[in-house]
Amino acid sequence: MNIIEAAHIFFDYVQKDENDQIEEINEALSDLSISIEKGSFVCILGHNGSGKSTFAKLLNGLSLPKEGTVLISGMDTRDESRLLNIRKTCGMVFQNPDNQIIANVVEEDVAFGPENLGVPTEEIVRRVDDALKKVGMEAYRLNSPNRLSGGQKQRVAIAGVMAMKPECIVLDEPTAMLDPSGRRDVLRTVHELNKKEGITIVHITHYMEEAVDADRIIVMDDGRVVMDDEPRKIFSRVDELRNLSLSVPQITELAYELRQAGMPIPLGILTREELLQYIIPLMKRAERKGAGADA
Amino acid sequence: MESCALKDVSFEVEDGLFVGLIGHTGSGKSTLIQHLNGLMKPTSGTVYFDEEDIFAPGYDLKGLRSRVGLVFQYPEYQLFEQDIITDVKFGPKNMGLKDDEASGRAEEALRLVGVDPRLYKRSPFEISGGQKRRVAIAGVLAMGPRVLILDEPTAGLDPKGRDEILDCIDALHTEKGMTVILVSHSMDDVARYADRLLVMDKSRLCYYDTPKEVFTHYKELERMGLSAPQITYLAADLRRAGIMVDERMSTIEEAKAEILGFFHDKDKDHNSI
Repeated sequence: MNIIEAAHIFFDYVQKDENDQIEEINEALSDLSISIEKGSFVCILGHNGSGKSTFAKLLNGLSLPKEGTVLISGMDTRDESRLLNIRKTCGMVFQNPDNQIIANVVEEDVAFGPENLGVPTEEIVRRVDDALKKVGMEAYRLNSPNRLSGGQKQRVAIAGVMAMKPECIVLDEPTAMLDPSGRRDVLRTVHELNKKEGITIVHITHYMEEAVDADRIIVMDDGRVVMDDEPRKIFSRVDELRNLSLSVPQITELAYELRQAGMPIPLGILTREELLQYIIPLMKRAERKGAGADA
Repeated sequence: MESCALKDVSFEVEDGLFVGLIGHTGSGKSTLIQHLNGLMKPTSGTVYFDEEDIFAPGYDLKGLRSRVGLVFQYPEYQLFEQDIITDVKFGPKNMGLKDDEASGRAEEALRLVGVDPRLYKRSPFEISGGQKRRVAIAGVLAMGPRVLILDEPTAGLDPKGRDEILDCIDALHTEKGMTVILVSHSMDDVARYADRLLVMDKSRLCYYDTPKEVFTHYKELERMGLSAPQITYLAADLRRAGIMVDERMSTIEEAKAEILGFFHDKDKDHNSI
């Protein structure tokens, strides 16, 4: 079953002058169709301006397509009577944690969503507890958010979404402003929510390494989908990705370079362990040969 | 409540060096760089520029700020003029330069960061994120700094935009001899470009050494909320498997040369390790 069903989407950014006359129209999405299966972990890659964030904003009705339909669990984002339900089903986390946190205490921030939905108080307390536990931030429930690190703030933002009991979370470059440990913690958290809670994750990122563990990668260019496959297949297409202003994870690139230099290594190596498995025997053999030549 | 953002930090940067500054969120990186052009004054201690105490009475701090250019995070949010060239001219005009001189400086700066002259009259809000950021950097370059300090200049950019900005900064360093201090969360980037790394942890300076030396302490770096480049970990893995590659390799180019060298050396000659 598909939780997200976007079909033949067109979206324009229209620039108007002070007299409300149209100055310029920029087509951001052009006949874009994407379906996302419930429970999957999908990464969206694409250069700046390829339409990733525009697409993300369509997924909970923050913007509406000019043409085409977006269905979230079967609900049309154009149907205003379903909007609250759509936003409950599909939560969003953005790049800058400081723009998403509003309360003075962590638990109040997490409670904000369910409070707005009119959830009874005892139930809110339960949900806040539960959400903070799931993102590993329960020890900070009475802290002030502005004393947290970037990664901790992002996990509080994710807890805020979790407290709405969503089926899907869309994260638009959630790690762009974080240090390495903040990035690791956020990544681990979303993977756990996906595995343990069955939450569908749509993760938009410019860090290729973060896409390695996804079930599926969608690459966008010019408002369209240009690649859609499992990570290993996507990251085998090194030159094509470069032409799209993207890259591959460092280990994948090294494996690719070694292969180009003649070493028998397959395409699409994703992790250190995989690369080691190929190069250790080769290097050991070379070492023995070298030792033999010396003797 | 008082809290200490920097504790007993001392270091020297030689003219013409490319220095990477790394540290977890809240480690004191941003506070530190704001001391370097006198935007913040230390509670105790001081900063010397060209051997002169910048906090001494009568020191020309305004002049210092044009010689030590600071590019903040997301500098494109500070663009405000109607067109690109006017925006970049703002700094030099503010320094008291005549209009044509300021234009000359602005054009030179935009050329250095690789902004197409056809865009000069465009609004800075109409161009892509990567271009906006280059225009913002040009705004600082137009003041003619000898030292350029950048706070995470690649945050939020796609891989190509990242490479373009870093290559441009590297060119300013190698071709113009500019001293660069680059604050970054990307260990891969500092491994590739920096001559030295400053590592901040909990308000203190922990390491100040070449990237290669610093990354050999990857376990300590992890305890500080940082990491090392993937290649450093690969070197450690290989050595654990009994293959004695250089433990200090940290970039893809170095790893490639090191691994391939294993085959060529051993096949051809006898001067193997």
